[in-house]
Amino acid sequence: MMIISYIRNHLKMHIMICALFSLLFTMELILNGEMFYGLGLNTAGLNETTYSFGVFNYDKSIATKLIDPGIGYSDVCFALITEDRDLVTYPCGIDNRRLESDTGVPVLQNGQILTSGGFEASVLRDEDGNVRTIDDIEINGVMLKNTGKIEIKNSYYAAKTASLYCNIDTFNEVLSGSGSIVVSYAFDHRLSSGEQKALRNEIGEICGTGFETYSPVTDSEERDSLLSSADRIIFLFLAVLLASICFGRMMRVLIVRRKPEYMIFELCGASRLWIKASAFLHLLLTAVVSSILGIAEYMIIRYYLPDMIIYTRDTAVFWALSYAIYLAAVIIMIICVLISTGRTKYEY
Amino acid sequence: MNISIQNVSKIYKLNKQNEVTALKDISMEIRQGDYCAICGVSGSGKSTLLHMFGLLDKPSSGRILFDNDDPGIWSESKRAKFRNENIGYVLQDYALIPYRTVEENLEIPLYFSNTSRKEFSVRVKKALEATGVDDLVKRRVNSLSGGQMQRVAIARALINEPKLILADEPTGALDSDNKEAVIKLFKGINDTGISIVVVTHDADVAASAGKCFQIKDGRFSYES
Repeated sequence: MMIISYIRNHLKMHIMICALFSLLFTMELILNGEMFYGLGLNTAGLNETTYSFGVFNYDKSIATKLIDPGIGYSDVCFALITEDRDLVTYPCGIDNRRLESDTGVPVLQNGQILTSGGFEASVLRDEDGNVRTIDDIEINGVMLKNTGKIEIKNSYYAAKTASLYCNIDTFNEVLSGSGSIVVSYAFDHRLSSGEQKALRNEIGEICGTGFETYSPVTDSEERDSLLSSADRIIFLFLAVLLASICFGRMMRVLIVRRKPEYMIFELCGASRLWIKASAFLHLLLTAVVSSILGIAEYMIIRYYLPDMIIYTRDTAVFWALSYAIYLAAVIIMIICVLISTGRTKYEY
Repeated sequence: MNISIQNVSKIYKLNKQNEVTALKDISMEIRQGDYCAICGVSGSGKSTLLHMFGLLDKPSSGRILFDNDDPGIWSESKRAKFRNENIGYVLQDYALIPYRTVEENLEIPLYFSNTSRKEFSVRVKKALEATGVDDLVKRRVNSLSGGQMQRVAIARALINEPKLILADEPTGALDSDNKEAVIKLFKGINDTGISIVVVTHDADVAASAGKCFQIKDGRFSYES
């Protein structure tokens, strides 16, 4: 009963804090440029803002297309483009048909392994459920030979290592036979920069001298291609303004509104020490509970929701869901600000 | 409980440019069972004096004795305990938590006393019956009228069976009917032997008290 009573009495505040985290999330999306993705405002370079990006024997005109929305949120995406601009994708959610139409490069198909598109394709198993290896794939007369098993799971960690190792081994094979190959890879944006760097170094070591490494484009450079500085400043200003209003109201509700109650407690025989301890514990408890709720909500939206809706990426459902979340966050925040304003006026 | 106020002065912001003298050399005696009114215009120092009675504030000089004990030398927790056990407060704005029920509001003083939880409901019922609002026990305070809220506030003041009730403008926010009801209620409470000190500038309330101390610019101007 106490827990229910506590939640009931602090529900609005918790919602407000959750809304604050939603706002932060929205800010992040705005600054990353992802919010414009679904509005058809994206440019070829857009996805590079959230994906570290490196190319060996860099050919930006092709590579840029590879890191296109069709690749999107899949795990480690990998593609080979031969000298003759034949293109082989290792399936990690790449829609081959789309890739083909985007790049103008014919996409080689190889039975079940390299069939097109979808997240499910990133699990390389045959119809019987056995893990498949990439053998007998021929590019320009060179046989791609896999040195080990490929087992790409839906886990992006598994995906990144398995696919990269395998493919890099095969790249060496290809390289020794036919010369240059353009390799493009993208890391999942959820990998930390440290993880990405380590992986990039690993690739460099494995590839050896046969490949040139390309320094990843920095985030700031990428963003410049999407939003002007003025746009970002305006968005940032609005977001900070909203966050400030929200935070200010929250503090008034938290601190000022409690004061009359403490005065009442004192009249009724509470010592000032008790009151101070009680006020401190109350604030602490509220901050902890609210932060846990807020962070949980943030984590769900930021990390788990994309996985849940990844299957529908590039569809209307994906964007409808995304914008519903943004809209709900903003509406909740406005309602909370109004509620807290109303309460403040009523009580003071 | 006899209360003796001896040469009490209260100065705020002492030794500063904006020093304010709220009370100057006040002395008075209140015997057990007295019903006193402290009258005066706004800013005359009557509420400050009431806070001294209630041990919410300490005098800058002089002392207040409760049965010859000087709470000025007590620890903060002992003063709070004394306030809880012996003093009930009634304020003009009721000082109730609006989003809590009447019962929950009345239980507040009991939390700070040694009363067992089993006894809570019995004490709440008894206090509400004494003020004639026992039917409101489960109602939220913000759904009550002004008169009902003041009765609930008086019930809360009575719940620990205090020896002294301190009331600060208890009828200030009430219409004439409710004012009469509160005056009558105070009379009844006083008849049970509980001392009452009421701060007011309402002539009817002052007239209902046995003694009236007029206060002006921090000093008693006369006693009737």
